Amino acid sequence: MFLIILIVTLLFPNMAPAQTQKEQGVVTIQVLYRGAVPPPAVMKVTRDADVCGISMPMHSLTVHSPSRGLKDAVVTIEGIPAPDTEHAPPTPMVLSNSGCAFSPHVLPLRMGSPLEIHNQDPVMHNTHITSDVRTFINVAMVAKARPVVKKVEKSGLYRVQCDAHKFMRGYVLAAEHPYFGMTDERGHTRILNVPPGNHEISVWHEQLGPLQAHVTVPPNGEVVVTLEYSEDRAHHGDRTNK
Amino acid sequence: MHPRNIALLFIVMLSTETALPVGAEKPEGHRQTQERGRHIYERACLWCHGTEGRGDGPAGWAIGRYTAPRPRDFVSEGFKFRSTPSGELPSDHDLFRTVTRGIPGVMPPFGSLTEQERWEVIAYIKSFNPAFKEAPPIPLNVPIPSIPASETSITQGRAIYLQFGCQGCHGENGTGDGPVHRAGELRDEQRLRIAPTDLTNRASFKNGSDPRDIYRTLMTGLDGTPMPSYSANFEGSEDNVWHLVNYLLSLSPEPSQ
Repeated sequence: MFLIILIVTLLFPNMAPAQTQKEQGVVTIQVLYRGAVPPPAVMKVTRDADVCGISMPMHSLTVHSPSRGLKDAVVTIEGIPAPDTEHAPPTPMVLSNSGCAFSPHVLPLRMGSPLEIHNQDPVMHNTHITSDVRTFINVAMVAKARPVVKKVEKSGLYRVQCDAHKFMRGYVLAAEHPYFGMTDERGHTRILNVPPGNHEISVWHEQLGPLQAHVTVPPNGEVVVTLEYSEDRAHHGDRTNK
Repeated sequence: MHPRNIALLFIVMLSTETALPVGAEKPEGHRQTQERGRHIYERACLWCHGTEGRGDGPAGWAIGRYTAPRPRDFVSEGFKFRSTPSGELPSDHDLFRTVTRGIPGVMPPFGSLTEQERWEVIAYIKSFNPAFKEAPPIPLNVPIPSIPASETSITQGRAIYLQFGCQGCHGENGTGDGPVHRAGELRDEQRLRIAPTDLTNRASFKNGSDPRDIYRTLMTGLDGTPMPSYSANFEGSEDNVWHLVNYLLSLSPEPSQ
């Protein structure tokens, strides 16, 4: 069993009964990790060492000291229908092959957003993105290749890999609505304009897996939620990311 | 005899080689068509692809659970042989081509079925995946080859082969022994080890070996495998596709008649 500590602080009282845009709340989330931080696994580079180096540290846990804040956890508030007036932004979300790694390593985006794939390296990569066992896209990205764009039409977790460089891994998470965020260096993220009411919060981390909690969002108020992963989750990703 | 070959031999008794499906017209995909297709599927396809199209037919014990390629799971997986962009479902004519020709070394051709019967079984196969009911993707227009296989073209194709990193998987001389393969890093969608095509043996080209087949493979890739789509890299330089096609075909002699 993993440990969850949920601290909910209502900073502002209810202001009005009707749910208009003005009454939407703010959810501030901090994701913590309690335990020893394992050193990152290091993979040997088998080709293109002049560009990629001779070894590559794999992404692991990035935990802030002393706050224990966990970076790159994707937080989604579940069960809220997307507002009719809001659509996915037409601005492409960029995923780059850069320094023989995917940048950003974890890319949360709104379902319907265009995903724009770049290659900034002087070597050939292929960007192979799958959802479970189904290919979303698998494109060759030769050196100085033109960007490739494809709209992400379905929500969920997508795994990104380069078949030419096994150590290159990344993730795209497509959310059905705009109520999501990714934690910064201190483990914080802030989600704005959340409809008031009772909601479920889902957290996903590459190594630590999923975590869930409940939140009550006050109209015109802000709620602070703290979730914590325990050390016994540290090898979840080793089991699921093979 | 390898167990896979025994399974194939059993199925190939139902089939013979046939002409390409050029100009084949498909019937309306209504319920009666699907029902007739179901009867054909149960006779010809179920052995490998399973009763519900999940690629888990009884031939699985012969093929081996950890041997790739596995029979296609029509419900969950994508499709390798397409004229549509990477990640999209195949067109009806793509499915017709695969059923008609089979896949060298993997799936027998089903030319013993009439064209009508092949369309019917395709209508049934599509019923396994509801995404086939959505608007079909726009297939690639595969043009008639426009560059003769001259020495100059083949030399240019060789340069593109190296520039595009094909040797990483297929090897310096196309024999399928590139460093990524030798490192054992190539996997299919089920995480099973697979080998790149030996380009010096065109009889083994799974997506066909005529120039337009190779053009289609280069442009759309083979979903579920590491073979990517190169279409973005050829944008505005279609001649380069034919140079690369000419080089790839120069690596293997015509199969003897």
